[in-house]
Amino acid sequence: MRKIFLILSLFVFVAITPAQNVLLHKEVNDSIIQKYGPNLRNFHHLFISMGFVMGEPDSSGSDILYGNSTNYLVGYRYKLKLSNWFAIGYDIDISSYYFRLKQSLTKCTPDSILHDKEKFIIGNVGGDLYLRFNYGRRGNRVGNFIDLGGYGDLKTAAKHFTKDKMLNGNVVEVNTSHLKYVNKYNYGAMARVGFNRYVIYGCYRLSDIFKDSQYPELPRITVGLQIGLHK
Amino acid sequence: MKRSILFFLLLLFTFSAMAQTGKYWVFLKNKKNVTFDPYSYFDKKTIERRIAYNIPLLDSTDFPLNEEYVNTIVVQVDSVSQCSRWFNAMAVYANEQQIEKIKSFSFVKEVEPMMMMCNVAEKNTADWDTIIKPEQMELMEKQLTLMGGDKFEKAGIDGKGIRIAIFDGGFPTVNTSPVFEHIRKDGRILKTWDFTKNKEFVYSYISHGTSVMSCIAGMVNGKKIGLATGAEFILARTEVQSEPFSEEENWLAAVEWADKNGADIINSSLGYTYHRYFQNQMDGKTSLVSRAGNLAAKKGMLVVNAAGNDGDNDWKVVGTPADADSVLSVGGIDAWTKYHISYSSFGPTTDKRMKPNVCAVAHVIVAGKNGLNASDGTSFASPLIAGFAACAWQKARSLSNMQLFNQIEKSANLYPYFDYAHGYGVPQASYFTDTTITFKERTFTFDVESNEVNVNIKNFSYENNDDNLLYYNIQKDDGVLLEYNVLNVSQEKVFSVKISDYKKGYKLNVHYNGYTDSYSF
Repeated sequence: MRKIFLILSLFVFVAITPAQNVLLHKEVNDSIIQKYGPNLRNFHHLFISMGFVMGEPDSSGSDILYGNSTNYLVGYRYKLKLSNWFAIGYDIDISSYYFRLKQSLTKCTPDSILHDKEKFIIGNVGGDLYLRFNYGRRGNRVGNFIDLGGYGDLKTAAKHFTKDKMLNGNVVEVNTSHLKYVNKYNYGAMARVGFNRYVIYGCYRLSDIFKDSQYPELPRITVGLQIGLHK
Repeated sequence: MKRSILFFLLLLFTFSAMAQTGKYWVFLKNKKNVTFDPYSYFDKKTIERRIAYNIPLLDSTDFPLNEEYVNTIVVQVDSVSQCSRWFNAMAVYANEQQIEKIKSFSFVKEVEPMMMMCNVAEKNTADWDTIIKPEQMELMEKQLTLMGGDKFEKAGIDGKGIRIAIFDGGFPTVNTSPVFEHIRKDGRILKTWDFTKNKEFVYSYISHGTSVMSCIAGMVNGKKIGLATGAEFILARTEVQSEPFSEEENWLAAVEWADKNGADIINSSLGYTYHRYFQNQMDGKTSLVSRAGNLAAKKGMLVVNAAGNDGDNDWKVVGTPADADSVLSVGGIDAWTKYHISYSSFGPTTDKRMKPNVCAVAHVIVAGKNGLNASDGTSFASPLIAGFAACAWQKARSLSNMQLFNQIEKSANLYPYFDYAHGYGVPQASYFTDTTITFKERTFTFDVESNEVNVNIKNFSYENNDDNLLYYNIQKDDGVLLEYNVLNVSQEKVFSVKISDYKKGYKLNVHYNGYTDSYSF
């Protein structure tokens, strides 16, 4: 009982004793040496991009609809500045490709059946390694640059989708997943031209999407615009 | 396939080519064979100012550029956007080949690529509202009474006869708004120039300049928003938010224009930070605008600049030209808490000079495009001080610009205490209007017990004390602060420090309720 009384008294005492409230406390650094920043040794940021699939397929059997065949990407980028004009870095990203197939008599991927709409959707997680060549004065900004590098993707999803409007007005949509004829990995070369946060990128896929050349390969080039989420 | 590759290469080529033409400063070696007549070039008021403060009328920095040199450069470049007499330089658009050729001229001293983006030091702007709510009225009064603005008003001081130049991104409705009617009525907007478009009209674009001007001299229904309602104005549009490369040259051109047109005070609520510079370049010497700010001060003008709004982000420190030695840098406080507002940028400069110099309310009521609204930013603390400075100068007209600078610092409520968030604190009109010297009573004591210094408040009474802020810092023997603090005092014994923690020669400086004292370790 006495103990409880003591604790209660202490509690009341603490509660009524006003404490000094520190509103502002600043320590002054002797020197400002920054290592993190857009034009400093380390920098990282998120980015988003959208691109269009371009180029010719291996044969007209895998013709696509240009403009409707797209690539979306969200990623994280790290840059290590090694000199005023040179840096290296890597990206980690999640991407998806939409290949809208052209419906023509020569079509044979993945079959010769013609549909109202048909597309391959391929989801990836991946990354790239790049060499960065900066040019022009830029202060503490990312500035103007050219990146050259290579990328690798691990397939997370591959779907074949068709849509047909039947004579009776019904719409039939068929979504086929776990496609066994799609390769698990992809890799290629890439280049980027950047103007601070705005980047034009181009990728060339060196690997095949389809296993064992079962079907004529889809176009290998993607060109698009990327926006770095930084100042 | 081939077509796609070609298209991609074409894109690459186009963007690379775009990047090749750039903007450069071409600095010339001399002003040989150039003649200059100050009486035809300068405004009458500039000549009066220079004579009054013993500033030479024939200063080589005011001489025009050598016409022959200019003409030689003009034919070599794509275009010339500005010429700076002060720096004997031309801002030009040119490609690399043209620049190589220019470098080879014997009269060219140096060529520097230009790249700039400025931060208009406005934090954000709330929605406009034509109704003055009671709390808005309260804040509007507070932004002036914290400087003792009523003392100027009672003494009939309103900045009359002082010419203020404002550099900003646009002044929409300044030519129509009732907030500036008293100025327009007397024809006190003497000149305007848009340096971004080389034309006179400035009453459009971003409303930041309108808000800034209202904090210097605005008036609504007879209520003052700023103190210098009787001042004269020249307005320069120097900033275009979407144009990332021009502002520094415009600022430079405008400061020369302000000098030519007789400005006494320049208010520049702008700051240049991370887009071009690193924090360690905030030394008051590196950037061209800070050097121009110092030069403007040498020519007799008081340059007032916002410290910046980077206190709560990665940048943290004051921008440039607020880092310049002779520029009166203004930090921000909150009107209600009366101490540093979180976003106001901190000092010191890289070379450890105190910045900001003084501070004022940064969360204020301003006039926007269509009415009054609440806004945040050291952008608005700066014009409040510019208005204050105009009144102080009207009262003490014999002071030179740098004497006024020092007197404004001395008038501040914390002086001689300072820190890198508040400078010397908020300037007080009473310093200029009251002739009687009031003795400041000791409000605290240093009590030493073995290894500790205790700071104790004298006659502490929590209830009767409206202002319980205690400021203290630790100052090294070279004068630079090691740390600084603001406490809300709620008991007699405020804090203690261990003597053995600090080197001999270091000082503990404390300010409480108008009284400052130091304890030397």
